Amino acid sequence: MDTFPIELTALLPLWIVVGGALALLLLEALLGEEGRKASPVLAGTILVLALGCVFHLLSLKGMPGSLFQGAVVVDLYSLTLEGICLLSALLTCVFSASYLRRERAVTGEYYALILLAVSGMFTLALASDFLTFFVGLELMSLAAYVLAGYLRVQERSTEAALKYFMLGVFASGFLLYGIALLYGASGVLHFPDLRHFLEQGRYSSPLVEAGAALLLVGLGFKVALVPFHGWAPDVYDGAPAPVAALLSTGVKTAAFGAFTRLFAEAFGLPGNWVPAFAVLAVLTMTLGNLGALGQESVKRMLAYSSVAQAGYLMVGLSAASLAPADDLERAVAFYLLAYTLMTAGAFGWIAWAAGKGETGTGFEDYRGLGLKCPWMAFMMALFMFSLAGMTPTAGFFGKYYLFKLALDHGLLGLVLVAVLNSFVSAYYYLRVVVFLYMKPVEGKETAGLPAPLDLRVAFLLCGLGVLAAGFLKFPF
Amino acid sequence: MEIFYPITPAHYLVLSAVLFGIGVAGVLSRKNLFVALMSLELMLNAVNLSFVTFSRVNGDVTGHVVVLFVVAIAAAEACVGLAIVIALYRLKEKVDLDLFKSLQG
Repeated sequence: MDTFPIELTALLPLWIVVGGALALLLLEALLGEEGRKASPVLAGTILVLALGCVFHLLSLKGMPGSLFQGAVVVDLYSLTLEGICLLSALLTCVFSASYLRRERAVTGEYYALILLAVSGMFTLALASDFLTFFVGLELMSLAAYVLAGYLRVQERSTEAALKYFMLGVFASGFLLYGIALLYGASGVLHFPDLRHFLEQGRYSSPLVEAGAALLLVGLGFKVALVPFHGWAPDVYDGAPAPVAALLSTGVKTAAFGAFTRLFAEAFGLPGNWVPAFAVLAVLTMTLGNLGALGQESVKRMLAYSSVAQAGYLMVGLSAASLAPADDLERAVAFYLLAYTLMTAGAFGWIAWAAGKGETGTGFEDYRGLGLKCPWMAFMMALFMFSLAGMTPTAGFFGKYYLFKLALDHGLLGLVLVAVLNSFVSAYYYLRVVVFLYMKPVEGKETAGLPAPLDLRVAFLLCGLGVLAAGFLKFPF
Repeated sequence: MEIFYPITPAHYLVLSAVLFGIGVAGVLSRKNLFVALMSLELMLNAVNLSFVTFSRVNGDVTGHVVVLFVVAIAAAEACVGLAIVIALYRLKEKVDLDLFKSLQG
């Protein structure tokens, strides 16, 4: 391997994904209809190739570490995040293939946009300095805005894109201002340099505090923490269901993962962060769950549930003042893996079950589906059990690691609130199961089309993942 | 008594903060989509002013480089934003923000 510079080999997944996106666009332009038909398979192949590279890099002894003068860092944490993002994108590709055929909206650039979003996620996951961080975030977000509005003749989809765009850029403004103030105080953009500067403690300016607060607001908007969550239910609800799967899993994984690194490595999380994080965690969990309780649409319920799930992650982040960065990153990465499997699965299931034009997203539409399509209904029930945090599933282990981290560092009250919230959330998750299995079919049938083979395989993998993830030996 | 003060970095920072505030206020209060988009751009450019000022004060060029990146990103954002506005205009024949209320609850 010595013949290639380490910068090329260690970032190979990124190069593959970017190259693949450009190739897909070219193919669409050169071959037209033929290229259009091949694009889902091609996109899937590229993602699998990149996933193979990530696994190979994970299996190497010794990580490449900091590259490009510290602009990116390739370690176990960033590689794990890359793997989770690839998983989310792969599932999205499979869900999209049959969805787009049904909506008669098949194009090659859709898959190219997914790959471009993934390249942004990679950049974000690798970022070890504020410039890389911001560029990655924007690269990912720009592709995501377009994807949210992909069904441009539908008012809901376009409106979702508008809201996502406005709030996304608004958040970027705050984030960038925070970065500017921190740069002004310290004169550095590199995370470890900033930490070094802060540890010397020679700064006296309010610039650091103001910059950190603005960063927190930017984070709040980007990963939809209450009170900055207003856009999230509308966007996840209005966007096409497979895109909602990508937005609520891959995009959130990369953003949350990168923010965890930022706060853990750039700030070293001095103790006075705990109250701010804890308040955000409590608000996000509680209001997310309350919002989900009253929903009559399963898709919108999932949108609120994804807000609430971000609250559980914040419980872990609150604990980070004392926990070593490694422990925190491990707990967060595992939760993100579990969350990706179950949430992407649930949104993908909606994409299948809602029927043409996504007309059947309500609880009522899924009455008695357990008898009609036992295989698919069982999968949805599994995802719901996992989201509710039932014992053998990934959702339980994810919450367990996060809450244990918080408990170990004396945040008993916060964990109690989180567990209570978890109980509340069981009501609306299990309501889906009740409608699937315990309500008789009534007259109209909107849902329950036969599922194509590729969907079945994807759901099987998701379901196995949900069942097995808790017992895996985590790579770091 | 002096009438003319020299312009210091602090002036630039205050100007930048004021511009950022105007941008935020514009996004929050204006109904017309184009004005809201311009306000978003104003926010990013206000930050650019801060970066350049800090870069000058700190005596290193990193801040200048960041500004170049931000300008490119802002241009890409404007592209996507205007494309979304066009898609909306084709559906509604209007570009007022309060027309878009089909997603609620």
